Amino acid sequence: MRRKRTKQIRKVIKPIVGLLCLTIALSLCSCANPDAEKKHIAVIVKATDSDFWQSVKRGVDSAATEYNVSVTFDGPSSEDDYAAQNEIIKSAVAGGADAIVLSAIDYENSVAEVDEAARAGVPTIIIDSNVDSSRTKMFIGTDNIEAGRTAGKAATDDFPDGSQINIGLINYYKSTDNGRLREDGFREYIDGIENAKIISSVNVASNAESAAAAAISLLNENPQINVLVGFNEWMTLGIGEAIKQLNASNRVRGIGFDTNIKSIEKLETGEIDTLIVQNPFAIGYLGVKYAAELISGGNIKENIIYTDVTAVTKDNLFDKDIQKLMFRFNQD
Amino acid sequence: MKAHRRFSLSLSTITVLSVTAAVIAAVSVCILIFGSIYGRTLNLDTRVSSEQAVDQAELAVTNYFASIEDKLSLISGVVQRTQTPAELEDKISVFTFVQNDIYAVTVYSADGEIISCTGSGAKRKENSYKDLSFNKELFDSSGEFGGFAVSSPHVQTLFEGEYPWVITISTKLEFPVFGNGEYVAIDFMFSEIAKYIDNVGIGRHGYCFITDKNGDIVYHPQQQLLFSGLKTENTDLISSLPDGIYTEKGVIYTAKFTKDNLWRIVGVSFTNELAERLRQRIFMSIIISFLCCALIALILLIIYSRIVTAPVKSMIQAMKRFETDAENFTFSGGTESVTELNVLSRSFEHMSHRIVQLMERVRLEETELRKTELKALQAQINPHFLYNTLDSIQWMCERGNTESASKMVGALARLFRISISRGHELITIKDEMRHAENYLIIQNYRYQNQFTYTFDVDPGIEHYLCNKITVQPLIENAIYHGIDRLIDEGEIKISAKTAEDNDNDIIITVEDNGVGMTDEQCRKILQKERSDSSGIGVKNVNDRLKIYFGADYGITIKSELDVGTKVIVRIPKLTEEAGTNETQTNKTNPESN
Repeated sequence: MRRKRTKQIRKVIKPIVGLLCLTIALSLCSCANPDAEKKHIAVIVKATDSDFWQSVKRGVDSAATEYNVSVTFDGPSSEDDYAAQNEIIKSAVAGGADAIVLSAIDYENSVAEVDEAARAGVPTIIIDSNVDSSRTKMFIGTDNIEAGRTAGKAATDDFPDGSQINIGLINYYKSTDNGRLREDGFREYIDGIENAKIISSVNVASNAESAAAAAISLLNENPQINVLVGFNEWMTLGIGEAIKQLNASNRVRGIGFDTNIKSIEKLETGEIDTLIVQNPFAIGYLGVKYAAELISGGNIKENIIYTDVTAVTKDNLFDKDIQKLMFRFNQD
Repeated sequence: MKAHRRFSLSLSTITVLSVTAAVIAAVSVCILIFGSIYGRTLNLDTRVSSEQAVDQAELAVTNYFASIEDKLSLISGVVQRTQTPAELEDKISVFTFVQNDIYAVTVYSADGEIISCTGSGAKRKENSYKDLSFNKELFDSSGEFGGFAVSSPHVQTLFEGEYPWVITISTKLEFPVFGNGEYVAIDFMFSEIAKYIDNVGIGRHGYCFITDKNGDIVYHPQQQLLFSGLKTENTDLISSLPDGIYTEKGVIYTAKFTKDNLWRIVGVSFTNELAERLRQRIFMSIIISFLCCALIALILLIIYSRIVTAPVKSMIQAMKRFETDAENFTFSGGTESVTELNVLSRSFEHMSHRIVQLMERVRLEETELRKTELKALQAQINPHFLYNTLDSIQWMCERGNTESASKMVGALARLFRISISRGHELITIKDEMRHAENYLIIQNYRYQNQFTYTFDVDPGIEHYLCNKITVQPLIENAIYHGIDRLIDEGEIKISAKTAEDNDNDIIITVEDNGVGMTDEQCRKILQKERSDSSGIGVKNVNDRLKIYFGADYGITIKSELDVGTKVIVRIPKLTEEAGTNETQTNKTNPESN
């Protein structure tokens, strides 16, 4: 009898032990896997050389350290070269990136690549400049329309009563989303100001030389212009250079976007009056932060996160907080 | 039985479910214990790594301060020994060329005028908008000669094309140089420390920042986020606490002052995230193991039901069949793969087989017993009838009525011959009718022609068989209970014909016009043995017919008071051959018992 019973017990115990082993092994596997290797996020921007993108990179690196992911930071050599950027997107997907953080050069011409990445299971988070795709996970960046409005305010504030405000615009590559939106916001604000009027608007290649040349010819052709607006870092340097060359810092108010050492110097010397400064660090940081959360299975609640813009003038440039915003810690 | 039948689970379901539940419970407990230990270790790990990171950062910053203080005392010595600003600038430019963490050395007058400024190479601006390095209040806080004052990090604005972050460390000169030079200040590059702090990662998701002794943030790797309000640090809490590790709402703060109490390193890492991840993982593991168990349980259930439940079910069905129809039951067991069930089904097979055998035997024995009983009864002729008949014959002889006496004796002899009929149970209807007629002849003499009788027998059925002494008891019954008490002349009609409703049956009727019977009397006749316990009663005839031919055959009685009684016998048409077979079996069976 007793032997029979132990036999029966053994019969029952065998599958139990098997089950236990199996489940423990399974749970160990599921525990061990996520720690096995760092997730990789490819950050693809429009260019890597400008101060703006360097600040984005610092935000990216900061988030990468904090969220324990590895990142690559890549962009074409020219801010106009969407084809090169598309190649970078493709190679990032092929290279096994777990997520892409993208600032699109072209609103329309990178849609296929972004959709392809989404099909390959690589989610895309857009920073700074959007792309016309419904398959992106979220947008993080400046509210460019609001930034345009802020520029409009800076362009028209503090003019003596009754004076006519004549504005010239220098903008860059037409199909880039954020330049267009900034101009829209700017125009919208100016429409509401009685004595302000946009005299002329030109689009040039995104570099300081062509912007300066365009600004000089604009000022020469329209001597009545007393406000000149450049819509990105290079446009800003171009108008600063034009004002300097024409020695017009007293009669022309220069409004620019973004910040680098040269534009800050121009701010100090008065060639540029106001810089509309974005928060590139925050853009880069949040891009990687949300990408990291997305990879680790988190949910993203917001579709759009707007980072702030600050109007910086000579007067507030060296305030303690503005210093931290304007000047990078690691200038190599 | 039926009242007890409730919702019930099958054996295999119970077994598999209980095993599964036990396994799931065991696995869950294991995972929970493992998880809590692992979680605690993780938290401990985070605290330890946080402490280590902060210690290292503190050491780096302290070393940094120590080195810049050394350099400041060195340079201030040089300044004191130099005669002109130009000579100083020569000496310092060599120094800064070697020491690239020194960005600029500046000698200030008491009210902030720059007396000498030597940079690391860049051209000084002709007129700078603002000099952030000079801070008289701070400079004076260094006290007398030999003390130092350290500024917060700020941007150096004195040189063209460069805005480096520096901290300014200053000291009061022992005596004024170059006329009115009161302070010497060195701008040290901050980028090294910033880079160091930037790269401190704690755990999966942690970082370090620096506050001053008042708790204001000196450097934070994400100060742009702090600036735009996307992130806040609980600096009020941290500044109120002494050095150490604190956990507040899932955040682990590790705070440590640098050696000279100027700055404080704060490490930030997170517990709740780790714990949350762990919880999710434990939850996932439990779900996975649950699913595994369910799957395996399902497989086991299927296997188990194949091996155990199906044979048990088929056995239960067999038992039910056996309950309803035992006679035609067959069952073959022993095909089950489980030993116990095999044994069970074999013994059930044996048992059912045995029960069927016994039932058959009991049925045969019962029939045979009845037949023997009846045979014994048939052998008897009512002795009163015999005495009375013999008395009548004697009386006729005495009266010299020899013709009648000889007729009586003849009839009596035929009566006996037919009733014995060589031991056969079945005789032809013709013989049976003759038997009845002889009986009637005798009785008619005895009752002195109180009644008349007629026979109406279809000649086509005379050769069919019937039980012997079937009609005689019915006639006896008609005489004793019907005619005997009648004042008028009685009449008995006997007929034998093919049944109108069935060509295979024969109907024999015995009808009288006697006093008749009530329905109750009719029933009693068919149920009770004869009270005088001799001869064959109507009941016996009926029983005999039913035993021989089945429940469809036998006697029915129709009677009306003062009108008469009709007894109807229904038997099947039996030929000679069937009859001999029947009698043979009757003969052999009793012997075998």
